[in-house]
Amino acid sequence: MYQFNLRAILVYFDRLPQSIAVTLALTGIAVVASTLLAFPIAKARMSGIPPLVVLARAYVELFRNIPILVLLYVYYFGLAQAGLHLSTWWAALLALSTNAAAYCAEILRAGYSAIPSGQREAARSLGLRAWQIEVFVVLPQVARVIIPPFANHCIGVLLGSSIAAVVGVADLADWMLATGSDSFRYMESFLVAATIYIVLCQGVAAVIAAIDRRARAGLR
Amino acid sequence: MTDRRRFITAGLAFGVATAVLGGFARVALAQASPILSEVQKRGTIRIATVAGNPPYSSIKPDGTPEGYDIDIGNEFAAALKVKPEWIIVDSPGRITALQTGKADMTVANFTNTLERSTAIAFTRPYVIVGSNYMVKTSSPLQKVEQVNKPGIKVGVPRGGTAEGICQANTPNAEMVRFNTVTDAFLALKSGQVDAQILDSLQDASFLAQEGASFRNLPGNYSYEEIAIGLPAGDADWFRILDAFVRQLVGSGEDARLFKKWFGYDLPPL
Repeated sequence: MYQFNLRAILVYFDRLPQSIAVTLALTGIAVVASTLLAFPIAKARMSGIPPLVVLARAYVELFRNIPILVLLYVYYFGLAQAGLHLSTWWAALLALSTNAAAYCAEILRAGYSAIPSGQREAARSLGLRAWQIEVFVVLPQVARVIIPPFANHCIGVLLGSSIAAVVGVADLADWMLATGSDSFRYMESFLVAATIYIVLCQGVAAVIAAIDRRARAGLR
Repeated sequence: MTDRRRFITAGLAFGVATAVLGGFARVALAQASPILSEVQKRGTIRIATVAGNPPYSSIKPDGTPEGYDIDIGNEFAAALKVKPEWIIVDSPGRITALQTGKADMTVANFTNTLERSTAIAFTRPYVIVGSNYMVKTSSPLQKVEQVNKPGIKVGVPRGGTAEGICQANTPNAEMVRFNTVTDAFLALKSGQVDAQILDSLQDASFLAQEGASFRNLPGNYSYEEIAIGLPAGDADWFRILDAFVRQLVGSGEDARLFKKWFGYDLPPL
């Protein structure tokens, strides 16, 4: 019988804050980078210009259908064999971001398609320029529509970031594996890591829900 | 009415208690080793091993495992007249699998260390190995002292003995942990790390496969008794497995299997 004893891994807790910071940094940067990457992809997909549409669809289908783990291996081991040496951190970030961009592009596309064309027409009839229509009329409404799926997306990126531990990025999953292998108290370290992941995800969800409430305040 | 109900409840409780206690007593009397009785009842023995660790253990394209460790496990299963069921784990998973009862034993290039012995049990060793630092032939590194510098990356499999060897001998170098030995080797091969710490025998087999691309730095950095692992607390299961290893070594079968997979003679035990 396994004797559960959380106290046995207390000495490893001092390394927890740093590993949580790594997980959050990896997630935060990947979310921002992938959103920036997703805009041109979503725009290209909706452009109606055949080569751009095909390219955007190809990107989305390619990166949505390759596991993050495989992307990580390609970037870390594969590119290195071709002479491009990415560190474990950059390889993990790139794997997360390129994967997340595919999902984010689809979320953005759904957001754009939810805006009635009458909005653009009305804005144009008021004499707004194209960029003004985009920035002042369309984007705020897109943002409001995509907030709930975007929250799910962020949680997906946060959980996906745990794959970085495979190549030894010192994140929360790495803390879990290292603590387990050092103390032989695997169940305890799994449980602690799982609890922290839950708290982090709930935190992300709460922050985005607060943003959502503010965004909707004007609609009441 | 309430009296009757209480009587029925008491009767039920007594019945359950007798059944449970009786069950325990039967198990304790019938079989000295709980694990052995489970294995015999099941008809299969669950053996944990690691993947990507040739020639000890690796997975063939058809999904079945092969190697020196696999042959040893299969011989033990045959001796017990049960079917082997191989469970593939990573390095730290060898201990977890035993602790949680997911595996009855491991044959997994598993070094008996005192730290591990506090969590699980080991038989006597069936092979004794050392550890080397391996680099690319073209590397400027000539001695392990040169590895011990900031900016030099050393690849190790996570949860293996190489982690401790790296911390003890090259604490200034940057240690990069991978999930399997082959991942660590791939990192060395693709230039993502400058050196790798490897079991000396595995080292030799990688050198044999990869020809002139790699070399070892001089020096042996560990004494490792490779043994069969088993859950702690079942003394009879230990007695059976230890007898198996004693006879495997004594009969020369160990040396034969070793030569089959490594291509040269078993180093003295």
